[in-house]
Amino acid sequence: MIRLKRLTIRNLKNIGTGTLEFPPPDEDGGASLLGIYGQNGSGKSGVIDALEILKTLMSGRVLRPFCVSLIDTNARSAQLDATLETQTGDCTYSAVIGRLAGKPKVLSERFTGGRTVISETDRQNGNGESAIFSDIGRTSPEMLRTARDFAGNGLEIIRTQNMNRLRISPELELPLDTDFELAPQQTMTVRRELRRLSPVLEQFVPGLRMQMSGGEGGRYELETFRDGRSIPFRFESVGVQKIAASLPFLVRAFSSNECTLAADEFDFGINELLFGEILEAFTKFGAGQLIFTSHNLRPLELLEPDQIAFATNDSSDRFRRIDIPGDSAEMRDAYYRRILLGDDELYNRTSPYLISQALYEASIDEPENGEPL
Amino acid sequence: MFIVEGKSEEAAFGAIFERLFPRDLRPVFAEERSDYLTADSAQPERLVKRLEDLLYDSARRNHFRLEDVVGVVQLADTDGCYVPDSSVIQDDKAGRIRYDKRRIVTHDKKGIEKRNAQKSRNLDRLAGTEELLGIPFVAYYLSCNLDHVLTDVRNLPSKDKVRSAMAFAKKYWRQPERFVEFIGDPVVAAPGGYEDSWAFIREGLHSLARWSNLHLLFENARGYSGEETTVEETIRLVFGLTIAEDREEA
Repeated sequence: MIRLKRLTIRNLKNIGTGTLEFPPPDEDGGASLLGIYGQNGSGKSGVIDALEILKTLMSGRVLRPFCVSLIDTNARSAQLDATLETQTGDCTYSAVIGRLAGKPKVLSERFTGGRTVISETDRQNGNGESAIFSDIGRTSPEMLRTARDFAGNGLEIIRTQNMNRLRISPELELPLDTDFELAPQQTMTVRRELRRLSPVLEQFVPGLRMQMSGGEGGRYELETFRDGRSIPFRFESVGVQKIAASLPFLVRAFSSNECTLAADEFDFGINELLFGEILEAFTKFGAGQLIFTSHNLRPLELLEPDQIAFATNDSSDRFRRIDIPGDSAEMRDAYYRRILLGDDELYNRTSPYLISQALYEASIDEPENGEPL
Repeated sequence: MFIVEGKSEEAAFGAIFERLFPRDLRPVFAEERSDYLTADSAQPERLVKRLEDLLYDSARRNHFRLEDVVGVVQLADTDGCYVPDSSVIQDDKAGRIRYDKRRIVTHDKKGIEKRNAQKSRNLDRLAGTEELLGIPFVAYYLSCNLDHVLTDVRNLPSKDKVRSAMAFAKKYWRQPERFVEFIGDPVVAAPGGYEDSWAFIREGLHSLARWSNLHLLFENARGYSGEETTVEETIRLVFGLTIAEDREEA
């Protein structure tokens, strides 16, 4: 068993400082869930970005150039601290990432197991990779190897904008929105994977299965199949594509307690009832860890208060729990109520009246005389 | 909590009140059917029950509790309901209703007289109501209707009401204190305190003229914007009229 236990983010996007504690699985083992809520622009996705950076660094790969844009423009560097819970105890990786010639650079990093510093570097001219994790071999301390394996294989990240392809294996992803070429020896692998995932899709979208068609000239296409009709995936809704693309990750996170799935906008394109049922399946019978951001509030009715974190408007303490008096099933009501009663930290106030007024005023030509623009 | 007769009140006041009220006091509007003070079924005895139902319904929809409501404000058009029957003029060529400075012109004089009787009884009842489900209650009028108070137009076609209200709000929501000045201007502000202002609108043809006592809501509360006041004090100020009793008790 391995899972993410704590994550602290500093100066990443609009997160000044924020710490998330990921709840432990229940006594029977089981899944560990955390849903992250907050209004648009509140910093939820920054958590997913942070995990992506950690995954890259801890699996020994080089940060991609765009990561430099994630560092708060008012800060010299961003810092990430991630604590993992492993069979042999907790370990923490900390990395300070700065800019050098427009590229992200690891300025300093440290890996501790319990209270012992296992590895530490302080290289002002570091590269966009981790000095600790880019050089791990069989003789490296076991905890480092465990952490690296977790980052490389256990930690999976899915984002809405990547949901137009289906992962067949770590080496092979197939597009859902266009046709593709496939080497003859790969078709077996693809068909086997489709046979494995199709019964899952069928439960998510009743009756809907998926298959691969084509083959002329080595070109193929993924399609759905229901009631004797097949439709190319590219003509299916974004929601159906997204569900299909999520399946390999959901299967893994559901069944493996070595897997942590971080899903940005997990509710996107998914019917609220289905969304709730997926979470219910995870909480009741899942084995892995699921971290997700969502706007849909259904989880507030299903999950426990310690499984929900809110991205607040306080940049210096970006994430927090809200105390819910009484039944946890009332979390949704309580969330609404607190916003309505003016909890500006939880939700920067919006109003149907101010929205209407702005829409109206944008639709008329002449500005009011003397009105400050 | 504002109870209004239609969405044009929300369009006119929603954005302004959002900006005008202290951040911990959120204006919520609940819309009644436009005829709820005039329909045959709208008897004063049933009115309070009806408003209570509206309050429960709004709480359920908006996820708040009744204990969160610091006050209920009724906003009602007068529609000339207090004028003597002699000022209701039968004109077979007229539509259902047309207001002018001195009269209501209608092809259904009997119907309008009945409506006026019904509505004035109901408004009297509202004006005399001090609490609803234990929550302080005040009623303010807009005479002869919202559009008349805001834009000096009495007979605005229904289809133009919302746009007109938004055009009005456009002038004020960024500087909502200017709305307080507008509504407190003696051109529209009915003279006297709460009870006097209600007595005033019942006189003669006043309920056809351009008057409102809505300024009283802000007159009582005007102090809050500049000074540091607690939520409690602000509420007391906003609902000065009805809260005054509580204060005496306390």
